[in-house]
Amino acid sequence: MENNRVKPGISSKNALFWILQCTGWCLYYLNDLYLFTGYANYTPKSLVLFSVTFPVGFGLTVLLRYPYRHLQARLRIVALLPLYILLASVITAILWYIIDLLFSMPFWDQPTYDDWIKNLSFRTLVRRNYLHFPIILLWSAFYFGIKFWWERNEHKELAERALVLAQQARMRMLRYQLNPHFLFNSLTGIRALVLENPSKARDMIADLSEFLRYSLLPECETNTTLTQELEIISLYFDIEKTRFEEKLQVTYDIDREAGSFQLPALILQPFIENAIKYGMKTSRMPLMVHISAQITRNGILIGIRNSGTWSGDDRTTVNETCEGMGKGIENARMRLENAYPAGYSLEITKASDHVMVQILISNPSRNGVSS
Amino acid sequence: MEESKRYRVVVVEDERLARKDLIDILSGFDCIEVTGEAADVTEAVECIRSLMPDIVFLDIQMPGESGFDLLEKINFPGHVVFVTAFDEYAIRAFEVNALDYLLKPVSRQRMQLTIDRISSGGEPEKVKKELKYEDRLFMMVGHQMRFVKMADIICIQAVGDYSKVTLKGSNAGLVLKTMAEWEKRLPPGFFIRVHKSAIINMEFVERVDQWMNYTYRICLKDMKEPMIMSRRYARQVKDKLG
Repeated sequence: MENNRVKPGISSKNALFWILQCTGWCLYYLNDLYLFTGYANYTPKSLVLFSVTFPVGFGLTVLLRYPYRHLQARLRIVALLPLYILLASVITAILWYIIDLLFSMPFWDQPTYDDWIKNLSFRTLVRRNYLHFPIILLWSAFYFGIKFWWERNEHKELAERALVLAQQARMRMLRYQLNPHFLFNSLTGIRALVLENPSKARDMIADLSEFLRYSLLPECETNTTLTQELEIISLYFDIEKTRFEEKLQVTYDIDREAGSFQLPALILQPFIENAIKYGMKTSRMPLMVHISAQITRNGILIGIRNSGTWSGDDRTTVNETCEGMGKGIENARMRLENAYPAGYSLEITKASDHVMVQILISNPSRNGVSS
Repeated sequence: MEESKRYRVVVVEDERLARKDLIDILSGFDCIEVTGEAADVTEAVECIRSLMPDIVFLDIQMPGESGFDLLEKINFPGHVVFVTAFDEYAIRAFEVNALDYLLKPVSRQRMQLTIDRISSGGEPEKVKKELKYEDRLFMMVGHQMRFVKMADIICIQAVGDYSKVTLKGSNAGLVLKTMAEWEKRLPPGFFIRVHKSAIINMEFVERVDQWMNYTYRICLKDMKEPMIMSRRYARQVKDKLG
């Protein structure tokens, strides 16, 4: 985890500066040195005098960082930035020249010195400096340019990370939430079976435990294969069948190859629960639930069909019928959206004697290589 | 020594195992005699009419017709105890309306409490908290016992010992409660007493006109007759309505 880094990014930004600073100035020096040594006459002394200017420039630009940082922090009107950079570059260039002089003047021979005094004027000064100013300016441009680019990347990264965290939190909220009705009704059923049919009671306890354990899995990251998902679903149905006995009948029609396809865990569960809940209310007995999974040209098509109609007449119960149903489906839809942004479709067909939920996932991923 | 009364009980529950479970628990009590059981409303009506039990245990989440439909079909004079696996809305509504209820799987201790309460003739303890605007009241509307949303109450008027509760959609219910009791329990942000015998829901106020003798006339949505507000209450209302 990246929590250990106190200030993520700053050390790298600093390292980048020094790498570029050293490399840049070295290259500049080497380039000029190459040109300088091309001249016919040079002596060790003139070489040294020539070279003085580079460490000075290097040092000045290193120091220039500080006023620039201050500037960036305090500047309100961004349009003034070029102006400030120009000003700073001029001042730095002048300083550069002055320091160069300070270092090199003591080593000048008299003629050079006389010559310099004689020609001292604003124009000659500018001429002697004609490279210093553009170099500092260029350096400043690079400095700010790279800095902005780096910081922009940092911000983008932070924003992305924040988005991912937010999304994870959302997914956590959308996870399958165990239906309390199911839990307590199952427990009631188990208790009744304890005396009537003890072995069946024990089976039911085992089934319920397994289902609960699965539903408590850490959610969003968990994908399972269709086969595993169907195992859990059939556990759920076994428990419900014990409760409803002959009133509930479940059939399956699953393509063999469909079993290895990956799905978010328990994504079908809200539809299964709706099928039973509203099917029990509206269907003739026995309630028939049919689960299908086919591989089609467009992807994998999963169907959950129950006899009955879309929603029961619930004028006398306290809670709104459609509220609970809508929320579960909305959650499932969001999970599908998150897992398959490329393509999925969720269709609910409400017919006069049955309800069909169809989920089409185009190009889902398979678990491993084909079996 | 007083002979302990045996209560005759009918259980209405659609799931066989749940029904069995409830009957098993009830059988453990000497003062209880399970005289009948029913798997749906139709059977229950038959059962209750012919056996005339003292107590009916009623599952509220039955497919098809629900437990409340049953109460509409027969006027049952005995005790009704509602049974549910889980229903946060229903539970709060039960508490708020002082209705007896049990949660599945029913524990022996809780069953004991319920039976004790019935035999001592007491009412289930009302939740002393103030009602919230989202709550529902269980009352007789027309011929039906219904859960009524607070937000659907337009106004409440005193009719002798009773109060007439006028609802949205021109329905009205009758409740055994005085104006003072209502005033104590209704959420003050929404309901206000405008008269000795009237409380209104401010959400339904359309207009307030000055009327003679320092009284005011309040026109409410869906109400043909406007309400008269007496001077005494006018000041309070003015402050609240702003």
